[in-house]
Amino acid sequence: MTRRTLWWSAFHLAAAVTGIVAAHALFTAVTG
Amino acid sequence: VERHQRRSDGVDVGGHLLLFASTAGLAGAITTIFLSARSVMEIGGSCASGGPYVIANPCPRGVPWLLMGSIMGGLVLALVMSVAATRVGAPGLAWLAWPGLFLSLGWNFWEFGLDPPFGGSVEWGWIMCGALFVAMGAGPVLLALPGVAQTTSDRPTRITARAASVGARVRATTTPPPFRPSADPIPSTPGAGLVDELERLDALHRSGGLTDEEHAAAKRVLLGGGR
Repeated sequence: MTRRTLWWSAFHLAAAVTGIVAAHALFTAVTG
Repeated sequence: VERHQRRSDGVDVGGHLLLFASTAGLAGAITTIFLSARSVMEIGGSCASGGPYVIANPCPRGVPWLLMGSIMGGLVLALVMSVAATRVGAPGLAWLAWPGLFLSLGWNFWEFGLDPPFGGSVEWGWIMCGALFVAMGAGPVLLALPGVAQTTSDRPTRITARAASVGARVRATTTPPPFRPSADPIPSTPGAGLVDELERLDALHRSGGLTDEEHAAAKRVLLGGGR
């Protein structure tokens, strides 16, 4: 696995986790 | 005109931020669809909101808007993500939204189908939906596996190599031998040996067709001594 692959994997993983956590928080806030 | 925001070392900060935000937004949209579907399935699988009628099964608060917004927003964000990935030279991963969406919804169908929240043993309608969604979601992932991709991409190369091999064999059997101008001033008869050639040369010399010098020179050529 090249450094470039590692970098973009970590980048996309971090973004996806951020989005998932934010969506959970938003959903809980809206639906109660 | 370069309008992208770039630092002095050439990194496209704006492009990276756009890619991060659109990836996070797309993952968030899929998560919202997943959670919305679960909240509806928990109350039986269908609901309604608004309108002039008395609703037997009202939707959980905010879910219709969340669901619509995340579907529309997810489509737009997938497009933005693809554009941003191209802009910064990142691998295109927006297609993962497809298996992400269908596999997560398929999970919901299996979970609630095997253990329905409203009683009963197994809800076969949801199981069938689950099987369909998992197949739709897993298909692209299986195609994208390294082994499968390599086999597919190698196929044209193998075909080209085979065609080249066949072409070379056809040329080898149909192409006449290259023309080699003979250094022999006397045309040779096919199958005639060196002795025959020398005898014909002597006969020509005796009949006066060749001078002594010409005969000697031709003889040297025939014997491989050059001109």
